[in-house]
Amino acid sequence: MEVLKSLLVILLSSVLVNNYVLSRFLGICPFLGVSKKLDQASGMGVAVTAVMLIATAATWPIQKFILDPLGLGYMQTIVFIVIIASLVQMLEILLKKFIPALHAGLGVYLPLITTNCAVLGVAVNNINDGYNFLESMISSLGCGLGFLLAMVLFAGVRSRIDETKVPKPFRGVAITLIAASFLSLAFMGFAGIVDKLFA
Amino acid sequence: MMKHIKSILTLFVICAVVSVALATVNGITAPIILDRQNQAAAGALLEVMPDGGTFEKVDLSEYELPASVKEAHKASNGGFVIQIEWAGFNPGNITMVGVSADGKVTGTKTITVKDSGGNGKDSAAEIPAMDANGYYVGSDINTIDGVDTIGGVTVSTKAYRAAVKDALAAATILGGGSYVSPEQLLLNNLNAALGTEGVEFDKHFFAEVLEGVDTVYVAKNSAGYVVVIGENFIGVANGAVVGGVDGETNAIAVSAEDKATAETSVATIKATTYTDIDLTQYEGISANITSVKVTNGGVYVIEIDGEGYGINGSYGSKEHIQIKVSISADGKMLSCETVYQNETQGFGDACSKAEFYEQFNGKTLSDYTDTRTEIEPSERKDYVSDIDAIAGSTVTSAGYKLAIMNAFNAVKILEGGAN
Amino acid sequence: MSKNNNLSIVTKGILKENPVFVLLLGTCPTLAVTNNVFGAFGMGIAAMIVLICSNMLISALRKIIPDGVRIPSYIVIIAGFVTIVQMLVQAFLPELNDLLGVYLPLIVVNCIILGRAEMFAGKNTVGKSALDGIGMGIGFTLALVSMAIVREVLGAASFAGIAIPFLEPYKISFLVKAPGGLLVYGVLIALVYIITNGKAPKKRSFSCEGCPSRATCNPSACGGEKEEA
Repeated sequence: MEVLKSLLVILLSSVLVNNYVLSRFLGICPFLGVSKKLDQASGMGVAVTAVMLIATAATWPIQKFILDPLGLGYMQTIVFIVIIASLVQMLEILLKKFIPALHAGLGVYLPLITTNCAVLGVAVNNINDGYNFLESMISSLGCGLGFLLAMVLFAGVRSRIDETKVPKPFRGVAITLIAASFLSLAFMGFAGIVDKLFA
Repeated sequence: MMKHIKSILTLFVICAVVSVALATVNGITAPIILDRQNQAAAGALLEVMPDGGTFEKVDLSEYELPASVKEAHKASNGGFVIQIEWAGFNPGNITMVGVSADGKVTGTKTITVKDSGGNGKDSAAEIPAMDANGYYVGSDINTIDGVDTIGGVTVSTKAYRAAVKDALAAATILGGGSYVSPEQLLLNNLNAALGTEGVEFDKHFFAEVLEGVDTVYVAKNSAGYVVVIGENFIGVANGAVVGGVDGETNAIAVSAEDKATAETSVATIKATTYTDIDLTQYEGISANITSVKVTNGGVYVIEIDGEGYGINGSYGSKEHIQIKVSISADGKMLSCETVYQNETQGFGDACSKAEFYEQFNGKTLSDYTDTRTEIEPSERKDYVSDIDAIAGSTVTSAGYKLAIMNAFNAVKILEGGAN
Repeated sequence: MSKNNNLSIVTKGILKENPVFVLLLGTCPTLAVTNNVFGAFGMGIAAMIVLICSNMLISALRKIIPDGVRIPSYIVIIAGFVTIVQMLVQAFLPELNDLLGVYLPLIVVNCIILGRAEMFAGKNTVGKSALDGIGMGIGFTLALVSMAIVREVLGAASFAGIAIPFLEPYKISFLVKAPGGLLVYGVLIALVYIITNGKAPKKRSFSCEGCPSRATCNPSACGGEKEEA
């Protein structure tokens, strides 16, 4: 029960309170770049969630069973990024070969994810926060879902912006950022809710 | 093919060169980082114990300490700095606690805060602020539980307080003393009095008038009773006194008078029988009273639904509280117990602690100035002025008092008095 | 190679191709560490050192690295420099390390660095690549610091951690929180547009320029439109 509760807290706080995009600014590039249309946004979100889970499943054991025992903690960044990059590459090849339909949908987003700081961020944060393997996976799932949620919400916001008359200097990037600011403001309201729920 | 091999070879060489470069830099920086961390730790030691002098690390493997204790340094002034790792909202918070030679907190410094968030406040900011303000300074192991938690970050502050208490206990043990928690001491006294080992006890709910007795404990395995008279614990098994200890588990000779009191009490408890009273026969008894029994000794045992934070329409939706009390025929309250409560943790649930509701024991209606059995929510603050209401739990405190006034009123009616 | 040409490599990074306000690269650290001037400056310098070093090394190796393993090689080289910088910061500037936290190792995936490696260093001489690194680094640092000044002074009534007492009652504390970062960035971009009379930023949308995976990437996936410039 206690375990379940702590997992639920990790999940909810990483989806809502510490939303990677809106409160930690990880993965901002795809958030602003790929959120123009709902189908693209959700495709990207699902792809990021999948890669986060796979990346954590690979990096956590490597950190705990290889890097830490050998005293190679300082190799973390380089090892993680190489692993994530090759995993993404492999995932794309496998998808293309075995599930072409899914590749057509998600495959195009995969190369973009290699250098998505949210993925590396999740892997590093899970180690820094001292999570065990299960907690790390739940936290990655939460971060991915949080990213997906932010993407989908923001795609909706942007479709409204496109139909609005915006003052010239604000057109394009500026108004996008300001709209994202308001979405982030809304997410700030979740701070404290998770603590309260399980108090 | 050659092309592929060349590619892989190049990548491999790059990886190897980078690895060697990293290892070299790490060789230079690692000792500096370690040194810095040690220095920071020593700085933190002095910060929590400014007059600590020099510090020496203690080998913890020889001691049995609370699990939260990770490291300890003995100061040249006889105190200890204990490093604890504790879990509030998140695991992995690390705090240094300075404990003076006479067992008082000299300072706290949280070097790693993993907790964040809170209900309106941020633990990540509040906890360092508590350290900076010397929140726990001066507390010892007996008084630390009385230090308030901070509203809004209750989860974190409760866990933090428990961790500081662990540090105080650890310092006692490291200082060569032994630390027995009050709960453990009570259990030791009870077992020593009855001549048993490892038996658990329930507090007896007084449903009878026992003159000269403070508390009675009942062994859960039916080995007997322990009657507390003043400081002394007197064990009674099979109707006769079998032993006695003072409050420090030392055996004492039980005086003839205490012996008689204890034996009579246990006999009375055993002989107590209960009869249900049909409340429909009486008028004016509050609908909140769910059951009344009367003992052969003429004591009323009353169960009441109290109004906690929830039952009143304007407050949330938590359920009510249930209280059981016993009142003698002449209107003296003998015992009080919380049967059920679901009040807010850190606020109303404080009233379910014995320290709170036992203040009603031994009192009669005339001890209270405000004896109304119905009040408006806005009047709760005045209403609780003649009890030790718990700050932050005024509504629940008032709920308890209101329930007890209703019980007194019911006894008056059952005894044939006017409403 | 004229002297004038070299100078322009440096200056274009500062103004004409400012990575943050014009190229719209490296948005994550731009938003995350700019609630404090000291942190912003530190991040800028750290990124600049990595940028210069990786630009130079990649440029030096540009004829040796086969095309097939180009991106992986770049990533390894950059990650190596980032780790070195990270270790040095941990050893000699622990306060900065605490302030930047996870964003320090995340310099690895800062699009500016991979982007410059791919777009400039892989095609130019060592000297030019170093100058490009300096220019981009200065531009990045200036952008971070200017944003941090706005956010910290107005949001926390302090400058690089030093309190400004008379601003205390007027501080708008939401500016140092997450939404404030996005808002200030948006307003500054609009401001740059007004100041330059609509000449910059040329880009009106986030796109794949500088994205190292652009070659393999289907443009429609990036949401990028054809650039106006």
